[in-house]
Amino acid sequence: MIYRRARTDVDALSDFLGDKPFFMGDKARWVDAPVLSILRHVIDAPFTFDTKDYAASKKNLVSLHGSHEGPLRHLSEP
Amino acid sequence: MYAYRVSKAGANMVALNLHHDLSKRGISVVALHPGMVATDLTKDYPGNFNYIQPEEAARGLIARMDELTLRVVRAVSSRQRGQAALVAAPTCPSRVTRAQRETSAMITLYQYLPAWSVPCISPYVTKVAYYMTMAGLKFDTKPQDLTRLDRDTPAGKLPCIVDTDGTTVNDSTHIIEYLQGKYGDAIDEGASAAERATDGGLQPDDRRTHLLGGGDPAALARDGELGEVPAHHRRDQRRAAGPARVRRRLPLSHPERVHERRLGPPARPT
Repeated sequence: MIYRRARTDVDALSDFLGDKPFFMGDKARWVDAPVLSILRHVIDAPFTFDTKDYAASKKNLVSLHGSHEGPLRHLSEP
Repeated sequence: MYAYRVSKAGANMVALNLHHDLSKRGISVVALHPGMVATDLTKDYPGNFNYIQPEEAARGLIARMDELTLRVVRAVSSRQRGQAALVAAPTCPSRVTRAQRETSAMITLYQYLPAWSVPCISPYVTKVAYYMTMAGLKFDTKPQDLTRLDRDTPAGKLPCIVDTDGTTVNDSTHIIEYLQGKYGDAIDEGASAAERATDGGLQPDDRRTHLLGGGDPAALARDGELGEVPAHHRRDQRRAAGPARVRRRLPLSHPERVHERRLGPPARPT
């Protein structure tokens, strides 16, 4: 049930993003902060769960998440 | 050999006394010990000492000098390899002041712990970190002592930021609103009303508070998500600042005083 809802959310994010480089178009808006945060917490999680696999199957979400890996990298190092 | 050793102890005491006398005038005196260095002087010494090379000694000395900006070390002596020892290593006022200025020019983001590729195990902390990075705001992350979470943060939760002026804000969405209100929002510049509405609709925070409260400190205070500077943050800042100075009363027109009048005196956390 929860995974089904999460899949709907992932679909919504993926469909809304489409081919755009950012969520609201060509320019980063503040909504990109929570979206990127959630993608990073889902797709990069070191364990496997349905939502992660499903999000990882969405090419546009994976590429959005991958293109913003740099800026926070230093903060995740101990 | 006695004279040689006594002279070293004497040099340490001269440094300590000089420091004692001059620190009142803002001058710090430091004696740096490079360690047992392999030099021409020591090459014929009997005994099996653990000598270090001059390069290694120099690296150690530089590392110790860098530490002067960060902490106060007193009367440490060390014979470890590559570790120069500080005998009198008080705060070095001019450098600490600069470091302090850098610290206070930064927003502090209190968080849980970093994990895999994210700055914090909480996606809400990551969200704030992403926002501040995107908005070009300089910030520093610090782990929150969870046993003091209820006392250190206005609403007893994370993320929590302490702004450069000491304003403390809880809740990721409220933090972003507060930052937008205070520092302007270069990111959302030029966004159409429809885009802003969509931004809002996509927020994971179902309260949609940003549509109601804006970044208004009074609204945040009402919601209990804006508080006074947590004690631990004040302590860190005090340590970085060195000896206390008498604070000049700010004029009534100063933004801090205006802020104070609008919010009333900060409430004591219960």
